[in-house]
Order: sequence, then C-alpha cells, then structure tokens
Amino acid sequence: MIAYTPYLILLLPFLSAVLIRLFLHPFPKIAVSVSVTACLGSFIGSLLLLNSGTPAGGMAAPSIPWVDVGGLKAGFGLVADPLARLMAALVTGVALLVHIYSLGYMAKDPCRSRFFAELSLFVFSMLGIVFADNLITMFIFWELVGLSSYLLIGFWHDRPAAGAAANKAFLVNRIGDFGFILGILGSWSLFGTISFADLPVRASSGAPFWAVTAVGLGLLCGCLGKSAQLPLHVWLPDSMEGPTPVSSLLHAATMVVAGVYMLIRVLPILELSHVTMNTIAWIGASMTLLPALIACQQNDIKRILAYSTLSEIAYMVMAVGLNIPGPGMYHLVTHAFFKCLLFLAAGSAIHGCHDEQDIWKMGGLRKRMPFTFLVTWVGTLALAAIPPVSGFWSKDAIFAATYNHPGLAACSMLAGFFTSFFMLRMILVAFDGKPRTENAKHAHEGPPVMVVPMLILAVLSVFAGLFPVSDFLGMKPHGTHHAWTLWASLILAVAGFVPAYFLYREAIKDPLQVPLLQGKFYVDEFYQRVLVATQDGLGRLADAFEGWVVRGFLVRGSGVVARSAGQGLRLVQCGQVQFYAAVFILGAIGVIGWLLWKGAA
Amino acid sequence: MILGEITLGHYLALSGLLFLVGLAGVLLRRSLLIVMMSLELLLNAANLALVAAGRFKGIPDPQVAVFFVITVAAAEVAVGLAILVAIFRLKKTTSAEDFATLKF
Repeated sequence: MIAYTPYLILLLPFLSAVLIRLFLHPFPKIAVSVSVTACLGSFIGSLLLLNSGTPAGGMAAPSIPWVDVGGLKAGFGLVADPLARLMAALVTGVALLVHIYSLGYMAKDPCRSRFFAELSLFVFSMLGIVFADNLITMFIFWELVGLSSYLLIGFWHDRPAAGAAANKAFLVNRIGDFGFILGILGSWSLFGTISFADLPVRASSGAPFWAVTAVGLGLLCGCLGKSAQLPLHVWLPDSMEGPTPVSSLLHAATMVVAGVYMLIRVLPILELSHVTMNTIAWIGASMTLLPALIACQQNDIKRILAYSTLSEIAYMVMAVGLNIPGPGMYHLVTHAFFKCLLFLAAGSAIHGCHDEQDIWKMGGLRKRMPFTFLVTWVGTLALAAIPPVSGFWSKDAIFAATYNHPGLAACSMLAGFFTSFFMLRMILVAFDGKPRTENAKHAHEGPPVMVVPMLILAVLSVFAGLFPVSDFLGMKPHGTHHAWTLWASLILAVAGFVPAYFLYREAIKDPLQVPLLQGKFYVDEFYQRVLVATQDGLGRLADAFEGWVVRGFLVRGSGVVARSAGQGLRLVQCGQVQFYAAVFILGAIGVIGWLLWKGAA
Repeated sequence: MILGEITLGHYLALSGLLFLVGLAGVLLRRSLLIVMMSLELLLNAANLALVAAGRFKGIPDPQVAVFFVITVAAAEVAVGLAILVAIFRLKKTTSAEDFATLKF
C-alpha cells in the first residue's frame, strides 16, 4: 500500500485542479475547500511517507512503461528516496500553509476558483518534479511548472504588467529549458540512461571530458532558468506581479528550488567535470552578492524579498558547485520556511495597507500590526543567519565548505552583510516611525486564516535547523569546521545591521541614492538593447535574404529564365506541320544511319 | 521465269517503295486529307514489311503486331478525320499551309 503513496500524493492536487476547472468553477466556496483538502491529503501522505523509514533508495513506486523509442526507454515511475520524501513533505507542507493563507488573502477576489485550481496544478507539477525517477518525466513536469507559474504570475490578467511579467517568466524559462533538454539528450547519448537510479553507475564510464562538461553545462542551464540565476534571473523580480501567496509559494518551496533539486539529482554527471562544478560554484557565489546589493535600493517590499530569494538560492547553487548537496538541501529546507514566512508577512502588510507595496508609503506598522512585525523579525533573523535561528545553522554549513575558496567565501559572506542591511532597512522603513500615508494609518492584522500559517511558519523558521537533513538524506555532511568561516560570516552579518540602523532609523525618504543599484545593474536594459538590436539585425538580414535571394533570385529568377528561354526559342518555330514532319524524319534517318554505321564499325 | 522466285527482298523493296510514296505524300502534298491518306500508306508499308519478315523467318510475332497496328490505325483515322472536319468547319480550308497559328 505504501508503495502507491507517491501516486496518491501526486494525483490529489491534480484531481482537485481538474475537478475545479471542469465542474466547480461557479462555486468558489466548494472549489476552495476542495483545493485545500487535496493539499491537506497530499501533506498527510507526505508525512506518512517521510516517516515510513524505508532504506535509502530502497523503495520506488511501480513504474509504468511509457516511452520506448529506439534505445530510449523511459517509464513513468515515481521515486521515493529520502531526497524525494523530504522535498515532498516540504512542498506539500508549505503549499498547505499557503493555501490556508490564501483563504484570507484572496477572500474577496471573484476569480478565486481559478486561483485555487491553478494553485493545485502548480503543486501537482512541483510534486511531479520531486517524484520523477528519470529526466524525461522530470522535464515534462518541469514544463508544467513553467506553465502553471505563467498562469499564476499572470493571474490578474487585466493588469498589463502582470501579463508582461508572466510572458517574461515563461520566455526566460524557455531559454533555460532549451539547455536542459540538450543536457538530457546528451546524458542519454553519453551514458545511455536518463534514469536517476542508473546515473551514478553509468556516469563513471569514461566519456570524453568536453562531452561531460557540455552535458553538465546544459543541465545547469535548465537550473539557471528555473532557479533564476545569472544570467537568466531577470524574470523573478518581475514575477512579483502575481498575488503574494503565489510569490510566497514560488519562492519558498516550489519553482525556484526545483533547479537546485534537479542539480542535486544529476550531481553524478556534474561531478565528472571540474569545469562544470567551478562554473556552478562561481555563478552561485556571484549571485549571492549581486541581488543582495540590488535589494538595498529597492522600494517595493516584495521586490526586496524577491532579490533576497535570488541571493539565498545562489547559496544552494554554490553548495552544489562545492559538491556538498547535504548542506545545500539543509539550506533549502530552512529557507523554504523563513522565506515563505517573510512573504506571508509582507503579504499581510500589503493586505493591511490596502494593496500598498511601497515601503516608503507604509511606516508605523509596528503598533498596528504587532504580530506581523514580530514574525518579520523572526524571518529577518533567519535570513540574516543570526544564531540560534534556523538560517544560521544551514548557512554556516555552506560557509564551512568555502574555507579553502577565498573568492567564494568573500562573495557569499559579503552578501550576508548586505542581506542584514537591506532587511533592517525594510523593517525600519515599513514598520518603524510614523505612518506616511492614509492607508498605513488604517492598517490592521488579517483574519486568523492568515495569522495562523504565519505563526506555524515562524515556529518552523526558528526550529527547522534542528532537523538533521544531511543525515536523513544519507549524504556526507560538510567537512571539518574552520572557526574563521563561522566568525567572519557572523561578524559581517551583524555588522550589516549597524549602518542600516543609523541610516534608516528616522528616514522619511531614502538617504542613499545609488542609480546603478536602483537600475538593478541595468541587466534588463542591457538585454533590451542587445536583444532588440540583435533581433532587429537578424530580422533585417532575414528580410534581405528573403527579398533578394528567395524572392528575387530563386522565384523570380527561375521565372525569368523560363520565359526568356521561351521567347528565344519561339523564333525558331515556323508553324508548318509538314516542316516539323520533315525534320522528324530526317532525325529518324540520322539516328538509324548512325546506329547502322556503329554496328558496321 | 524471268523474275525467278519471289524472295523476302522483293517484299521489302515493295514495302520501301510504298513507304517512300507515303513519305512524299506526307511531306509534299498540301491537302490534309491527302496527308492522312499518305499516313495510312506509311503504316501499311510497315505492315507489309512485318508480315513478310514474319512469314519468311517462320515466326508469328510480327503478324500479331500487325493486328495491333491495324487497330491503332483505324482509331487514328477516326480521330484524325474528326479533327479534320472540325478544322474545316472553322477555317473553310484543308490546306496545311493555312494552319501555322502555333507559331508565336
């Protein structure tokens, strides 16, 4: 019976999505409860699975034969190793809290049936990635996650910005997916397998170095898109156009961590090439720092958190690059809780201030929303890695592995400094001082369905560090602890609070103005310029080719040749049928004569 | 017997003569009706050569082929005459020189 639990966990949200879409659409109340119940069912299933205590990799749900073309065999099978079980519990747990929170947040939205259907679809797709036992199955669900995130980001489709953000997310992910599928095909042709179970065995066979590097980089490309890492990170801040619960789910336990999860799954391939591993580590290290810098100058509370997500995901990516998946997953778990908490708290503040997202238009929320203020602090401490909150333990485990990589260590620890800085800035501006707008004056806490999930997440954010993730996964824990990494990161993290406190304690408007950071390093503008220029250039080139070569030379050219040949040849004609007959006969005589002469000779 | 026995050579010579007469008619006469009659002459010259050759070599195949030629010739005449009648109705002439409209 327990062997089929993964199927149950996977299919419940799918059933809910289908039911709502087909039948329950006009009845929001029923639709909402169906969706929440399905998620609850999945969560309970995941907990049972988590506690089932079967040996590592020893249990997999029966596989259904599916694709069998040439040498390519892919079953639709679900794997339930500790990694998948942990992720499933995390995904369904966070998703359940977000579902409950959405009950309050979306209470007045007339389209909430659609919202909950799409939420269910999203959870289903993410669980598919988690349980997939081969790369093809994972890719299918990978695309489904892309689709459902597109639907959710563009949920308020009457807002042009939401539509644009959804398109952007979808298209940028497409670029990453292209690399991903190349990586999958490469893996199949190099190692003859796409099954995660066979990878560790087959991947060790001696394939050429450049080939394994190429495959690794292709798979990395998929991660860059989904996990929003450099250079494909541009979609994530824009995805804030979606409803806040969606942002929370997107950033905490589902979409963006899918990339990291995938990297850990294909680690046997990545390990073969030190080039790939170094690339991953350096992309991770640089992406811890850049978004942290950008976040220091953002004014939208959700965008600040979005950039912090980029930074935190980068820590996990760096951990994979350093070949310490255990601490990477550890940080993934703790991050899921405190980032979800921070987003829900931000959502609560936004909800309380009547959809105001600009922190400079909030202010003074501490007295009006004391609970939100409190949980934001918990989340901030976890994010800034201040002991004894969970984030400290998981980040420290990653820092410990950078002891002999000074460059990586410097980048990621400096990022910790800026993380503390922008989080305290956000808290001081949004929650401290006096209300700066009418909306902020009338702010109030949300209903219990919004408060309770935050409370649960706050407790988890504090204590999630106690869960022995590396041991549970059977992965090697981080190496020897070097005291300096601990102290350096801790001192930098605490130091980040100091300038923020003095700069923003009494601030009414931002005393710092750094256009480079406000402009997010102008990556979007750069893409805009370069892509538009390239695309226009290519377009003109294609137009010229079409106009001159295809239409001009091939189409019209062949017509002109045929017509002028006809014009020339018709002058030979006399129209006299007997003349033609004479020519024909002379020709026949000529041929016969030639044959006779040849036969004689 | 002045001429001696009739051999395959005699038949072929006659056939060649007939063919030349037909050819001259096709190429030189202007009336399309005569041209068609000359065409029949050409066919029959060929038929004669076939039958004679088959008889003297003692093989039946050419004689069978002749039946086909006769059949096709009959069809050809039927179609050709019909076209001729149609052309005459259109142009009120059967002279080959007046049918040069395919030029230009």
